[in-house]
Amino acid sequence: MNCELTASKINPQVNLMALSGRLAVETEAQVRPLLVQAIQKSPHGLIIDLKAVNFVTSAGLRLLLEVYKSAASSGTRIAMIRPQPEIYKLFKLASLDTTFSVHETEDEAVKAIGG
Amino acid sequence: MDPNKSETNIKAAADALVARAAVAAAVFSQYDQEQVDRIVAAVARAGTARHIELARMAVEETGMGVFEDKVIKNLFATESVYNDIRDVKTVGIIGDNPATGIMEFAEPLGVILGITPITNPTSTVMFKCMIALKTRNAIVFSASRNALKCSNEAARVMYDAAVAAGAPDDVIRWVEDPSREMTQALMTHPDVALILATGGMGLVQAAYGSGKPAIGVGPGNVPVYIDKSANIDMAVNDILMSKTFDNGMICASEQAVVVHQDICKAVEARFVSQGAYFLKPAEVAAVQDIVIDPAKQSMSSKVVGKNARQIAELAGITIPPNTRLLLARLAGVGEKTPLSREKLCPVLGYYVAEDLDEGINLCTSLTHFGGLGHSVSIFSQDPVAIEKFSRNLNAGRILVNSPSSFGGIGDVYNRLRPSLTLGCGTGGRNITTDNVTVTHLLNIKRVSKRMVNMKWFCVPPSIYFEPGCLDVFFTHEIKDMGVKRAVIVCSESAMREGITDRVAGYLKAAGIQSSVFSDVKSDPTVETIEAGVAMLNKDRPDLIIALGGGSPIDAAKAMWLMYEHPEFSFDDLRLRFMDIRKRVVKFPALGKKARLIAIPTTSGAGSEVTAFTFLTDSKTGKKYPIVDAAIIPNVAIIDPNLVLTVPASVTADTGLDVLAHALESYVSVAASDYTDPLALKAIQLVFEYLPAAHRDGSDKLAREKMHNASTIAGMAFTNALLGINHCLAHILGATFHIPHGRANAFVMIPVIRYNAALPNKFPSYPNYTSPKGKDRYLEIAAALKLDTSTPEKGIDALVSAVAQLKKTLGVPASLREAGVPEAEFKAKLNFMAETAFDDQCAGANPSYPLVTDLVKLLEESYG
Repeated sequence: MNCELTASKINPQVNLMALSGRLAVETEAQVRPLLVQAIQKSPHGLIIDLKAVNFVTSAGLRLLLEVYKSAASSGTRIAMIRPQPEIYKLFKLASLDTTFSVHETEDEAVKAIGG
Repeated sequence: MDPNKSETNIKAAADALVARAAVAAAVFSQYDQEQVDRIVAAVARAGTARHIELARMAVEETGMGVFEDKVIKNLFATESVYNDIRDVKTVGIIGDNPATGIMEFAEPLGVILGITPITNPTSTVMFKCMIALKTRNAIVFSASRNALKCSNEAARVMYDAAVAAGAPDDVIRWVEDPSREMTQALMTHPDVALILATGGMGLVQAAYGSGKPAIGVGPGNVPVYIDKSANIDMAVNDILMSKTFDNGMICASEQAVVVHQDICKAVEARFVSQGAYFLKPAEVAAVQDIVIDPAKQSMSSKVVGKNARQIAELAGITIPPNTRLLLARLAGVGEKTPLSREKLCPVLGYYVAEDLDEGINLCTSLTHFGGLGHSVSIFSQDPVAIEKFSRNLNAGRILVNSPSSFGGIGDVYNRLRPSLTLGCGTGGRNITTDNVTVTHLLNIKRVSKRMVNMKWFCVPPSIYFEPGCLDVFFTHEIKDMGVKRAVIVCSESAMREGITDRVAGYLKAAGIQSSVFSDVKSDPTVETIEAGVAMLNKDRPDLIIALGGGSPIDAAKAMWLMYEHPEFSFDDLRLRFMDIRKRVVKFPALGKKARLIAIPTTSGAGSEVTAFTFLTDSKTGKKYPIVDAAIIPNVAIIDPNLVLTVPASVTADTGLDVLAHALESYVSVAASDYTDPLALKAIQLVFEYLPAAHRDGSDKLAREKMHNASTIAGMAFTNALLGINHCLAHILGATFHIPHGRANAFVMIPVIRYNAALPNKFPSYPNYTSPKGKDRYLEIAAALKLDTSTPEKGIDALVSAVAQLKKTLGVPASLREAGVPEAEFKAKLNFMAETAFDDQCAGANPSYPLVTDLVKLLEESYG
């Protein structure tokens, strides 16, 4: 998974990170430190782009929740964008779509973050 | 009360359980069929691997049942169930039927609350795990308190295997500390999608009463009837085996035996020889006191799952060694006969019935006494007895020549779906009589593609035309028909013109007897038909010849129908329909008694080729169309020599009817490639030849073209249907005694403009995809070589052409000009509009008419 941290073109103070493939226990080890780092580097906000994520296991979901909580405690606002329909459905069924601040576009996410 | 078990804590514990299961269900929703099937296979293997230990745990913890039988139950719950569900499609597309255009997708339910019993603790848990996982649902178990350890262990075995095979975390959960409050909290939890309740009545009722979708079970009080035709050895064997299986704890096991008196001695001897013991009267009382709790009026928990020897000890009676089953001779069913209740232990009630009927009635009484809808059983080789038994008893499972415990749970002795949750339908206050399985744990989504209606093109098999064809036909072809007796149904004018005599002469020369029914006036009534049918029944012809204008031909068709099928009533036949193929009354095929030849002498109604007939109810004046391909005549003879003497005004009126037929069938929502060329041709012929035919009736070419146009328009409209032009013409004609064609002409121009405009109300007909009225009229205008350089010009040109035609034919431009009194017209306006709306022809109009639209059209026609 290539998880580059880039600045949002809409609001350069907000960072963008794209995840891809399966969010599962195998990828957890690789992804967690990257996300932790991303949060540290994004005091004004972090948008996680889920466009290329095609599967989220229990472990993957737990990781997202963990990331969300640690961001909240350090004051970084998080939003998630462009989930594939299966993933969006999963968020709705688990009542996580509002928790995670899920949006269709970077633009909406930046606005939601308040940037 | 222990503060740890306070209400808030219980609710919090329930919330936590369900929340985790809900997340699991959410994650599970992403899985495909392959991933799911891998999990189910792993879980089945794990259950099978631990089936012995779990059986031992169950017997030790509950103190009930037989270890070896619990082992078999565990295998059933894993192997048999797995085998049954392994290849069932439960994820994604599970059905696709091109013929219906319907695709089915499977959507999981979410979180299932599984309530499991003390009688089949581990097997029910494993069964529910299998079917829940197969359908991508998470499941939370609430087991019976007295089977908690073994039930939860079974759940844990399944869960570990599931997760190892890739299932989401928390997909199977269980209550560690059950209580009524916990069960209630779970049952009413908003994130529980369904309660799957297998247990006692109280629990099942609580499930249904919780307001949550629930699938529950009912109690059984299974009677087994041994018919005089039964294989006695097999019956006794099966009953013994079934009733002692796990010491009688399966709810589908037999509770009472009812035996036909002719074989009761043999049955009793066989039972005794196989290890059953008939209790003496005093012993019955003793056993009764032990087995049925008098206070609770139900079986005592002391005896559930105990064997015969243990029960005998508890009752203080002595029984032969190796006795496996206790039988109590009983007389009645009900509270006064406690042993007629369900007894989940090896004690059976025993009845003797004089005959099959009494046997069935006893079984009815037994099922109504706490077992309605569950199961019943019959041993018989007589299909008549089995059918009568099955017809009369209310049970979801009617087992034939099988042990009812195994028979009820399915698969082993029959092809019922293997299940440990047996629905009893409304008899047991359940939602289904099914053996519950994977199909009950899915939300089915149906993708329905737009499907168009099949259409048809039906016309007479033979249409003869050209001048003089009548003479040729009745000289030659008539002989090939092989008929002996004809009735000619004709108008007075056909008589007057001598055509009837001519035809009768031909028939006589061909050796065919004939008689004449000429009492047909315009707008034939039901009474006319009845009189005609009376004549047909008297003369019994095998050929009917309809000769005249639309009225005699319409009348002849109706007479033909009633002659061949006297069982039909006029009321049946004129029922309204929305889709002609889905009508309530189906017309039978005609031709068994007689064939029909139709010979029109006007140009014309087209009735000689149509599936329609129009009858008038003389009481109300209403005209009723009767529509069905069955009344299309076998032969139509289109001989223009017959119309040479039609008077000019009739020529004009009937010709305008032809125009209306053709115009309406072209713009109808039901128009097709088959009817369009006919409609256009007829319109062209009318504009080209009607003025000539009207001006000079002896113009043979004009007469021939108009006569053909009439039939061709008939072939078009009988398949493409008509519209509001005719709806309005019908009631106008009936109200103000205006000839039919002329009435059509009065409304023709307002109707064209109305249909060419955007509809106020769109017709709902799947084959018609967007408003086409204007375009269709423009095509007609183009076919008439009018100016269609703009749409508006085209419509105007068509309207002008119609107006000009009317003028040429001497038809007044409006109803006012025709002398219809204004006050009377206004008074009847609403009635006419409503009647027109109710006319069968309205449905195919390109704009679905509102009554207010029809009022406006009538007003415009008045002028």
